[in-house]
Amino acid sequence: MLRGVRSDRAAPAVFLGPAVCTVLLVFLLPIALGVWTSFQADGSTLDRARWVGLANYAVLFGDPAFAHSVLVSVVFTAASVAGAYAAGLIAALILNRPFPGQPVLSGIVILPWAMPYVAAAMIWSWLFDYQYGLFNYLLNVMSVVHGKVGFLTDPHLALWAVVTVQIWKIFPLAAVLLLAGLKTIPAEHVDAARVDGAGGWGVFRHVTLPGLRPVTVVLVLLLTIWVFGRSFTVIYVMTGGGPVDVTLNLVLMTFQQGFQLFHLSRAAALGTVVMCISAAFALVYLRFIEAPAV
Amino acid sequence: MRIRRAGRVVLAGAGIAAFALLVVLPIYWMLVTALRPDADLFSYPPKVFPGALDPGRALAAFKGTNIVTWLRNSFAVSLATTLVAGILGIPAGYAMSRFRSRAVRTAAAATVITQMMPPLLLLVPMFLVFRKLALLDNLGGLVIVDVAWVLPLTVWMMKSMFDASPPEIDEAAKVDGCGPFATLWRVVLPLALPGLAAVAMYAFIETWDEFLFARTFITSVNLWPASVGLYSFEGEYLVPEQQVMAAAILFALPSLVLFMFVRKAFIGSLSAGAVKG
Amino acid sequence: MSVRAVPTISRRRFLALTASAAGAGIAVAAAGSASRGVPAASAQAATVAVDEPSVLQPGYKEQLDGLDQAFALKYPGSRIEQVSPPFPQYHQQVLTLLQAGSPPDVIRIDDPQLSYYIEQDWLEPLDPWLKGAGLDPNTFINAQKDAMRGGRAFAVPRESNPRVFFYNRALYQKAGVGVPADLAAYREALRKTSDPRSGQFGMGIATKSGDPTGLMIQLMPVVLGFGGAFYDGTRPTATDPKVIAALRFVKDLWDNNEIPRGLDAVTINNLVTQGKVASIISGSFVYFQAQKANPAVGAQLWAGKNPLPSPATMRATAWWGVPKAAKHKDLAAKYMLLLLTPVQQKRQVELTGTLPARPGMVPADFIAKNPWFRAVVDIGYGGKAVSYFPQQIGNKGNDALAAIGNGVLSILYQGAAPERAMQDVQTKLERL
Repeated sequence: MLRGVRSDRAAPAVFLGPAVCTVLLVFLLPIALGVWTSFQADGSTLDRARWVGLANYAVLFGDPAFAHSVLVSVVFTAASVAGAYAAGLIAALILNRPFPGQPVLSGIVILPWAMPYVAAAMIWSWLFDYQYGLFNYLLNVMSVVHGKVGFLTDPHLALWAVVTVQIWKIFPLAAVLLLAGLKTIPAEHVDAARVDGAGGWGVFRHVTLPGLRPVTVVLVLLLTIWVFGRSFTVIYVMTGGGPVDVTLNLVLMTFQQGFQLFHLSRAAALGTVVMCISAAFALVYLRFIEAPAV
Repeated sequence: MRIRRAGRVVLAGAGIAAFALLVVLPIYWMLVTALRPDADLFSYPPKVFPGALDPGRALAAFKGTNIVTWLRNSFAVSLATTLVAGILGIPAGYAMSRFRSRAVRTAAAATVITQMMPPLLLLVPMFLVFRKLALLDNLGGLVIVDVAWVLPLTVWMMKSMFDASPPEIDEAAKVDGCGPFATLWRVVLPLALPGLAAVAMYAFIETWDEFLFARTFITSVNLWPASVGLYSFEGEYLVPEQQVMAAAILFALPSLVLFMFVRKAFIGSLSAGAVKG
Repeated sequence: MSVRAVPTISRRRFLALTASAAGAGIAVAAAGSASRGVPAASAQAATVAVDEPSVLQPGYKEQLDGLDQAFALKYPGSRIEQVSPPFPQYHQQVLTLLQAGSPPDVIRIDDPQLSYYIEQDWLEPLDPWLKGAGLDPNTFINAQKDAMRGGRAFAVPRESNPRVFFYNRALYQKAGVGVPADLAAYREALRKTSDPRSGQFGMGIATKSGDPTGLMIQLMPVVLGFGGAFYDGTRPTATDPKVIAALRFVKDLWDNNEIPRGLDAVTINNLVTQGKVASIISGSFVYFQAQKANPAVGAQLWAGKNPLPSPATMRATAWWGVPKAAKHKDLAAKYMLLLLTPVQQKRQVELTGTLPARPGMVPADFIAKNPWFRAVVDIGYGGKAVSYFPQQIGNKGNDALAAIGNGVLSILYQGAAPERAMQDVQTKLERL
């Protein structure tokens, strides 16, 4: 059945226009200016700019820290999105049916989302702390490990520590949206599956997951774009990009280049690269994953 | 059979309890930290269940600062943003779901592109534009930025909610003589109420937590939203941990309250099975 | 065809609720914007925007309040507005405003930003005003040199803090250790005053990644104390054996848990204030902040002679500057001149315990109360302290600090051999 065959031609423009215009009007020019800055020399302003073409990009691609940063961003994003989706799905499934204490649990699930990023990152840093942290203390007391675990100081563990915190922070959004998605699944489908003899797992695989497809597709796309291009505070507060750059994702590198080293054009180049990678991902995703769902 | 069922319930309960504990532990720690006396802040072994409680520092957070003003500003900006984003975003999501022309798809893709550049890099150009428009240091200007900021997710999420709503309903409404707007307003939207609640929460919390644009465009201290004000507890030389945590907990409460309001929207469909048409 | 149940809250009510809430929101937002404040009309009745983030710190608040009041008295019709964003955001915000051409009238500049702001031609030379007040910047504290270009002063130090060796007498007594007189005694003292099981450490050095400035500020005194330095003029000397020796020393402390791992400077200061760190080489403000925040521990802090082999030490400075694009340059400069008057300079010492720009302003009774401060004064005005930031290479200093910081952190976190790590740093510094 063909969706979208309407006789009212003005409807799409009227419905979509204001939203799209607002977004583009606010962000299009700044983004264009950002991209323009990446082609200028450091220290350029609008009135005195010096065109250097791809020089900033050349410096960037020649820097091994850049390639490493891309890798960190990709791993961090993939792990965070997967973890947030899984945790959100579990939470949504639990909250989908009433049980004693459900209001309390739903409030608990919202808490990480409601907490300000900085305070959350600070408290997690403290829990993970090498010398004073609760986690090290509990691990020692329960004799799980002897000595201390460098959650944030061991180059092999630090990335997973920040991923954990990022998941904790964003899974409630996934939970709320997936819960809304679960509510759109007609109960008859579930009943029909059970009548056909499906157990809990069967219902999940054949009714729930497919029913969640529209929400899942959009949720994964948006979470990926955000975590890839916007995730800053958690890492900045907890590890500052360290130890020794193991948690230095592209956004953090952009910040360092722009605001600590004052290489503003190089920072703009980094931002443009982030945007291009995200756009490439989104285009592929939309073409192959979202479109066929129509 | 009943033992197995009981066993499963206990197991499920234990699992849920463990999950809840994991989620709530940092919150508990924040609460405990807010009430710790100075001497216990860095004690090792850490006091899991605090001995002495000292609300003094936490209360100082509210006495010496403009936190009430900041919270009021945050409310104003977040509520306004949520409303405007809803008004603009819901029809947009509907259009993206029902009208699949190339123009629509391009416009939809364009909205997502704006989320892809690290916002740090957008500050100076946006500042210049807003200065020209005399929208600096103006909560209304901040609302405009925040609306543009939350719209892409609002639009896309509403689209996915409408995608899940069968088009036969639209057809039925059309047969009944509804134009596209009436179809959306009267027929489709009520069915997407959980989605509406979800994006309302998202728009509110995202705006409530947003501080980069707020810090850049709002310079008057009495116009700061709470997200910026929260930072002011962190000093150059010393950070009064208790104050930061107390303020953070207060900061989180409005979002929780909002959730309690919209929670009802998520309950609706459970009775769906009972009504078959 | 299935029909879903009607939700329990009626749509009409839900939307009405939302609309009224949001309507209230918009109303308050509009009101908030309208109540902004009267814009300045003329240069005579102007509001000067001063951006000094320390205004929220105890001691500094009183100092700046007094300064602002004195300004309002001296220039009737004008007043000062403290517009600082919270400190963690401070430098990024100022950078954004400078780039956008809308800076406040007075800005605070730290060592890492000074060269960049001057190179970008964002700062107004202050000589006309200084000359008019009969002040010669060449007589100011040594840090003034960093703000001079071609004989012109682009900024004036608000405070310049040489580093002092502080130790906690109570913790030392408890460990049965006397004040260390040399490196060996200090090493022993560090060992004896560390007790990780109770979270106590012999020394505090900020070793968190992502903030090369914070790391260098706390590391440089040790490196200098061993007689080493990362630069000799504009020539990098990262592979100097004395530098390596200093880094080995720090690594040894790290391995033995005698310094905390991965904490930033502010947390280290907090630890000192709570009596969890037995010694630190830092600016005098640590002492006075501890006095105010925790008098019990503040009373235990004492300054001693630096036990490291070399007496060389460093300074960290905060300058005030007037941006070229400021709206009220004349009044801004006059505000700074007010800071430089003897009355205000003395007040600064008394309230914050930091060294002001002009020599000879430290009140005698202040030194009587804090005898160790005499040594601070001698070092500060005697020109013996160097900046931790290699100002002589200009803005490249930030890249240098980042390279050095990463090298040091690789020694600590990855166990890299100090010679190897410093060789890499040396190569990077030579390429700058």
